[in-house]
Amino acid sequence: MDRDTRGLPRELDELLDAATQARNDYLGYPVAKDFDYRELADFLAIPLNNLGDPFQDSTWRVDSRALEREVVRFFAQLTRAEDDDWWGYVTNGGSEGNLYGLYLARELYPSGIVYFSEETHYSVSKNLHLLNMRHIMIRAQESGEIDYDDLYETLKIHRDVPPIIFANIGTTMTEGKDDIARIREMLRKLAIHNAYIHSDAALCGPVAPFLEPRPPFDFADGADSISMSGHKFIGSPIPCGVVLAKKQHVERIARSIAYIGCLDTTITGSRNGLTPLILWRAIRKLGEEGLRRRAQQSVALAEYAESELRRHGIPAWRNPNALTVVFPAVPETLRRKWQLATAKGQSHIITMPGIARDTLDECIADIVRCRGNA
Amino acid sequence: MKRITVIAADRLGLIADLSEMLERAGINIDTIDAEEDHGTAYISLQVDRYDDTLALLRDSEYQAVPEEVLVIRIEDRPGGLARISRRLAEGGVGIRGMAMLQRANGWCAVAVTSDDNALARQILADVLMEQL
Repeated sequence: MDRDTRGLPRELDELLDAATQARNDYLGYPVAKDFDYRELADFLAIPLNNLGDPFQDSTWRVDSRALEREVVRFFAQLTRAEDDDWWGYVTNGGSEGNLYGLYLARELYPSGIVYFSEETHYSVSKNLHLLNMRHIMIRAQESGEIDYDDLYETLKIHRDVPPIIFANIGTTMTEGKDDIARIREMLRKLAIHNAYIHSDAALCGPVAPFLEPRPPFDFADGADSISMSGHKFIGSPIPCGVVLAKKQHVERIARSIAYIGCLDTTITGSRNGLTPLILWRAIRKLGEEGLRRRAQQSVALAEYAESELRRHGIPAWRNPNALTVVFPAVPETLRRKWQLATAKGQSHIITMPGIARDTLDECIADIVRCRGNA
Repeated sequence: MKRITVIAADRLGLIADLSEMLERAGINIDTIDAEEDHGTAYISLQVDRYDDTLALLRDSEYQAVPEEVLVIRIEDRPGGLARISRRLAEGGVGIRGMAMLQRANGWCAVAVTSDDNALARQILADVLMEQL
């Protein structure tokens, strides 16, 4: 990659070197590395700020809200939102989208109980604390997917309280995906009418629509809101994401907050104007077909990594169509070298776009060598 | 003095490792009690620097629970937490949160936060793990 460091202070030049090297080496974090948005550099001299709701008029015009709306529309179509019943905005990442989904659920069902599996990302507990929401943790299966029997038994006992289901579409360690259609069916069987399902599709949101079979995760499957990350599978130099929700829900809470004289239903108010441009550029370049190819390449690379590890006697595994390859925890030296996330005796590689097969081979050789020496 | 409960997979040297970690941070342990149950260790601590200890444990491999949170032990089977929450609801206790801390050998350690801990303790006396 070309670099222009003319006039850059030494500290920044050194940081750029270190960050570039660290970027080249990581294999264990779900972040794409094959992007270059320097064509947008001129926007760095403009105070872009997408104040408030991207669908509301504003007198402030130094923004990218028109393109943000296109981005939101693209993802609404991708996640099979009903025509005219979707709303959303570009967030600072998946966690803000999850916070938004839970906030919306709490406003709709103030007495509701949140159910989430034990494999749920730590930020969700933080969000529940922040929103002061009642919650019950549900067991997870080995795959990372929620334990449906435990969920069913728990819902059955609390049938009188509106459930707010926080579904994982790709858990952090194993990429387990909860089946939203199955959860909806469970609610129907229990005759629970007032319920809310948030789909945390931070990692898999932009991948899942292109998998065969398509995982049940979106609006057509029964989600009320969906959070997706932009900097993970799509790739961005700035953390970002998209949150989508059924418009009917957002309109209900918009009315409830109207008493404070504010129609802004977003979380932060002042919002990043650059990240919508980054996402807009990415989807304009890739389109649905580009994303499909990208998903297929990543899945193929995960298949390769899994089979190579197994060929060398390492009991690697992954969930169907997952990009995450799980194997017994590797020593600290390797975790550091390849930035491999490790928990509960397992490490993983995530084959995100931009990971070179050579790098993967080198890492696998290290893992095999370490195991041989153990 | 307030108590902290540490929950971890039981292993040889666990208490020694925990004590050394606190000692390195200059934290004095006033009392320490431990109990093993189906592969899970429940360690109750009273220390001279409560908040610092919680922060240190939070950043380490240990699950640490402050005094305001009840720790119970239940069988690890579907609906286990649901039954506990129903008992609390029927006893007039509002649940703020229930989270699994450790699952091992068919048993599960659970943290419970409620709006009335005194009453919750009475209701859950048979499964409470913090009275070491």
